Amino acid sequence: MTTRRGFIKSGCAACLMVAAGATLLESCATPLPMLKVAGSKPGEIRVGTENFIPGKVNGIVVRSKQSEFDILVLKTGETYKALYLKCTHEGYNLTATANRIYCSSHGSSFDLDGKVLKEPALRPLKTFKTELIDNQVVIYLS
Amino acid sequence: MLSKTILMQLKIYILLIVLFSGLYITQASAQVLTQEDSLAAGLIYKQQATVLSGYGEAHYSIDTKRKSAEASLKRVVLFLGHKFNNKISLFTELEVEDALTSAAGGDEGVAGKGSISMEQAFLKFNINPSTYIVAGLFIPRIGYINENHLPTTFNGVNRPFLEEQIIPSTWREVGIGLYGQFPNVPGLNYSLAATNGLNSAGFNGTTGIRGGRQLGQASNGLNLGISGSLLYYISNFRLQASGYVGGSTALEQRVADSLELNSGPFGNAVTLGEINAQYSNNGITIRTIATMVHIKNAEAINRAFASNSPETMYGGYAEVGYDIFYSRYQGAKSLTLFGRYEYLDLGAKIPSNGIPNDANRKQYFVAGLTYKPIKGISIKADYVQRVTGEFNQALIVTPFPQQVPYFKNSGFVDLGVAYNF
Repeated sequence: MTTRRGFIKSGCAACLMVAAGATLLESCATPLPMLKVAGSKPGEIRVGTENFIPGKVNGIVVRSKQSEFDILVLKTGETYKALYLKCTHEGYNLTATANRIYCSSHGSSFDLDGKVLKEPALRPLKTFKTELIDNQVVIYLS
Repeated sequence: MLSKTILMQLKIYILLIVLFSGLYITQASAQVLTQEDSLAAGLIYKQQATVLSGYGEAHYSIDTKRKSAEASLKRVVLFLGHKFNNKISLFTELEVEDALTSAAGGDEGVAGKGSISMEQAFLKFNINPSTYIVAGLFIPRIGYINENHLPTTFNGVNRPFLEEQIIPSTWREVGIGLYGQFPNVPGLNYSLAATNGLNSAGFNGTTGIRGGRQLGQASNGLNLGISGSLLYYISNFRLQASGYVGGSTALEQRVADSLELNSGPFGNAVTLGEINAQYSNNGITIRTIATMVHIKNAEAINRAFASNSPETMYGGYAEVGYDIFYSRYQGAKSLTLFGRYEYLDLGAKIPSNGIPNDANRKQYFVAGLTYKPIKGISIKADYVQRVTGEFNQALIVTPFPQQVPYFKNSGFVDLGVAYNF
């Protein structure tokens, strides 16, 4: 049987390994900066394309007073998509990472298309129509 | 005579009120929005909404050693939420466990074994899009299953045993909690909560601190519980560490003094720490957790309540699952095969006035499958092998046949269905 001392040792070793692994993964991960923007026009949010840096920043979390929750804007090639970071389970805010979107409250996860990967959420994330105008990504909220 | 007439009129008025209320509720229910328009659907302009949802599960379990079986509608939970505006929402969950609560002489003709409880009832105040405060009866972020306990979200007919016996899920208390994300570290979430504390009168040697949860019931004493967590999402990993410290004397000071128990906010404190990690990718899920609980002054608690409370408990488990349908359906439909090993020691250290019981040192070997024809529905089957130490005969106070035989090595076949909508 495992002794208490042995259990603590294994637990600490596992913890250190997890921390080391996380640090390693973090160094490999693509950053996902947050951008606070003021709405220029009711019902739409504009994000400058200069915020997307090829090979480094392909996604930005956008925060605006026009929207109750943050919006994840992702660039794929020359197209942009906007995902509403509100969980479709109970309406909690979501945590976006470089390759997934998570609900810290009840464990749901979504892919970067907004599709449900893990319950309890059953429906995909809301998306907003986007348009590229004068080097600005326009997100239409309605 | 006069009083009878008044009583009759009163009854008629009550009946009319009930009828009109019913009509009003019927009208109001027409305003309960569809899922598309609901609280959960991203309302930007239409601020108010009410939403109904729920989950439930039924189990059938065969004890292969005792040659017995049990069938149970384990739980049905009704969620009712209301969004007052973009800043304030209400979340409630009403739970019925084991189907029936009834007195022996009730309409059903049998005494119910079930219970009704509020699993959650709190107000949520949004500070900004990633930070909020909750106040009321809520579930602090401790362990994995405590917050993520919907039966369609975990493998196994039963919840992992560690997260019921050491971390007493579903552990909810009355208090206030702050939740948020660190803006400069994408993926890193935190929580900090202050709730009422535990009640050491409910601790014992076989269920640990589980019986000490107060669950939103009126509780005496000034004891508090403080919990906090860090939760980090990175790539396909979910990493969490959480801790709890709280006073366990839920008594007025004069009563506590008479029982020679320390009182106050952190009197005879219980401390709990846990770390857990999960990896999920391409249909493979790996989950591990380790936890430890310490009860300060367990000797004094035993002296006061003769409960055989332990001083230290710890345990851990690891689970691996693989969705064999993943390459074909990418999770839309799944058949997950899984295996889990759990180790628990509910009496790792006992106080000098405690009675040791090796039966509290347990190992569980669990293997099974979870079939999900669609999201929201789970059909489960598993086999559980439970291996424990020897039961201490000194703890047997009732003779055979009241004292059922104890088997160190038991096997259980479990079947279950679950839903979430």
